[in-house]
Amino acid sequence: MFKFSGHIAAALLLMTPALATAQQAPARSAWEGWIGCWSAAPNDALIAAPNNAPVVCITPAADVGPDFVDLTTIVAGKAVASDHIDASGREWAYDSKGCTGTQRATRSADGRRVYLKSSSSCNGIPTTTSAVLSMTSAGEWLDVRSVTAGGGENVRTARYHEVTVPIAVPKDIADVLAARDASAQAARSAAGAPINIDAVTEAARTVDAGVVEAWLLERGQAFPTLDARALVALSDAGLSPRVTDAMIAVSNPTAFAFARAEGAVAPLPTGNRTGQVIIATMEYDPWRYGYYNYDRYGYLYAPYNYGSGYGYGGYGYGSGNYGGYSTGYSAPIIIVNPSTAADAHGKLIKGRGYTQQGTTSTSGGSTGYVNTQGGSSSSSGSSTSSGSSAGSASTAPAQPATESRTAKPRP
Amino acid sequence: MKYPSSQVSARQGKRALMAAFMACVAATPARAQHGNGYLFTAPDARITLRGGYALATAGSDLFSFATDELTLKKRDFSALTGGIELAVPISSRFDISLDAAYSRSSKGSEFRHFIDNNDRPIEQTTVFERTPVMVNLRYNLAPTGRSIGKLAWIPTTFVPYVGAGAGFMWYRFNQQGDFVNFANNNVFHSELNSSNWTSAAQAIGGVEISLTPIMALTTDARYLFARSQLSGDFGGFDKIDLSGVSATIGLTFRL
Repeated sequence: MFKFSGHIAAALLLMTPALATAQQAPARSAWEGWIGCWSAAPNDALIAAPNNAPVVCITPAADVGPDFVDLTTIVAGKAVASDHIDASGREWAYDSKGCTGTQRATRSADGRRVYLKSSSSCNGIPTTTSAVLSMTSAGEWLDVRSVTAGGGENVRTARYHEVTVPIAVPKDIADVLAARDASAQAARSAAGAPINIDAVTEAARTVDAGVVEAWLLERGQAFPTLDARALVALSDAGLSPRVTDAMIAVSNPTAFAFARAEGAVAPLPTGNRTGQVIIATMEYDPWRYGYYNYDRYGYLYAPYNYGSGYGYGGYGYGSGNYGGYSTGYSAPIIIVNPSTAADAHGKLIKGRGYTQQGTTSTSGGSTGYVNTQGGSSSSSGSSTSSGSSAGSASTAPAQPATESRTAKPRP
Repeated sequence: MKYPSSQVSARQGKRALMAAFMACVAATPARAQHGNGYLFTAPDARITLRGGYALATAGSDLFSFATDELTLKKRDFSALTGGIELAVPISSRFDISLDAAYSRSSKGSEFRHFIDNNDRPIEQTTVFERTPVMVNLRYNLAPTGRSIGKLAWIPTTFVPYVGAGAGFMWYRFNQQGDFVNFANNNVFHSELNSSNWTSAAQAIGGVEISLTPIMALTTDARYLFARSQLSGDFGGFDKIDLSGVSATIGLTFRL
């Protein structure tokens, strides 16, 4: 079930020139660091029941081209889906599952990141997807993406860590992975090296500002050369204020606090929410929210699928669960200005009792969500409600959201 | 030990300025966190501490009398000045500020035309104090800074400005020492004093040169206009001329 390849023949190959960044790319594949099997599920969940965690295996598709990779999703011991990505910068047209549009993957000029952009119309609803696939210094695959539809934007991030090759992987894939040499690890380390301001501007030119903002906040890497002069130059060059704000925040970690923006997800249109949701399958889909699901009628939730978990007992995305596993996609980190947060002020109102105003304040723009749901919506198992939900063991760069102090009745 | 009232005023003025300076130093780090060449937000206010020289016009007949009869010159009524200004931006170019300053001249003299019966000069000291308390509207001829995103505000290096203000001035004209009674040429010891509040207006021009994200060097020139009735000890004179020009330089702290 090589889903995308089935559409290659039918798709119109738009022979647009590759982006300049792709033309400048080194000869080696941008994907070298990605070759392997990955999971965004938390480590403890993988240890508890390793066969049920969704795993994505990435293998080179050298027979198609150096910029191609195959992605195979394995869930509960079965290879449930395959896809592939062409990072050459060419634009592909597609027509699948009620959606039509174009997709483009571009490798960065230094060959260390891959940018994804897609624009589609699903059942008349225009949707765009934007993503950065990068490596962290710890060798994690940091996947930051947004889906924009109906005027709303939703950003999600995940940290994939490499896992052992599942038994269920088809033999040809297993053979490819077994043949990897040390250069793959070196490529991963190189891809995870610190980025510079030029890399940020390149990303901002290529994908949505919300994605770059979330990417920078997830990385948490300071930019020592970011001074007033650089900021002016970036602003004059048209860099989004969301991006410069993120650069400033990570470069001044003692001045800003960070928190995971749990909860706030664009609501699903009510017309699509009828019926009990039963997840029929889950596969890594690079062109949507990382993972993809369907309801019992086979109706695709895209473009809203990533948000469908909320209100449905933990099925879906963000910090939701699938079969007891977090998908690993969580809300982005946001900047919490401590000086503003400290302004929280209590009141005693007759008939309402004590209230608190302005307990959490964000300085960000549209990603500045605050927890309005009082925690995770999960109903089972391992969903987490804070920054650790991405499953990363070691490199969450920012301060994770702390548990709120709550009260309960005396026994 | 009882100090003369003029010394008490001087001490109070110095203490007030020191307190203002300490308040600025204490307040600045708390409010103005900054990055490499930028503040995280546009400043909510600024405090300027300045010092300079206040040149008194000394144009009224009281000063003429004093300079004619005593060994005083008009420039003896000029003095060092210090001030503090708290300003709040009300738009991208306009600030409104509350501004107070203090200047005090004190000059010893003797009668030009008389000495005493022991051939000793007839000496006295003249003190002239001015304390304008003004509300100013300042127009910055260049933007004071540039916001980039929501987390960076970069101050403009060179901001010339003009402004105008209105308010009140307290003054004190004091002469203490020995004087000649022109009616009988008797020499008598006395203290003559006139102090009052009066309305005032001023025009300002200056420039603010940013040194760091939280601090700027400010230099300005002001023309202040004020006149006031003289009180009890000085009769028959026209209104005292409290006007003058001052030039100051100071430090501005962005808050």
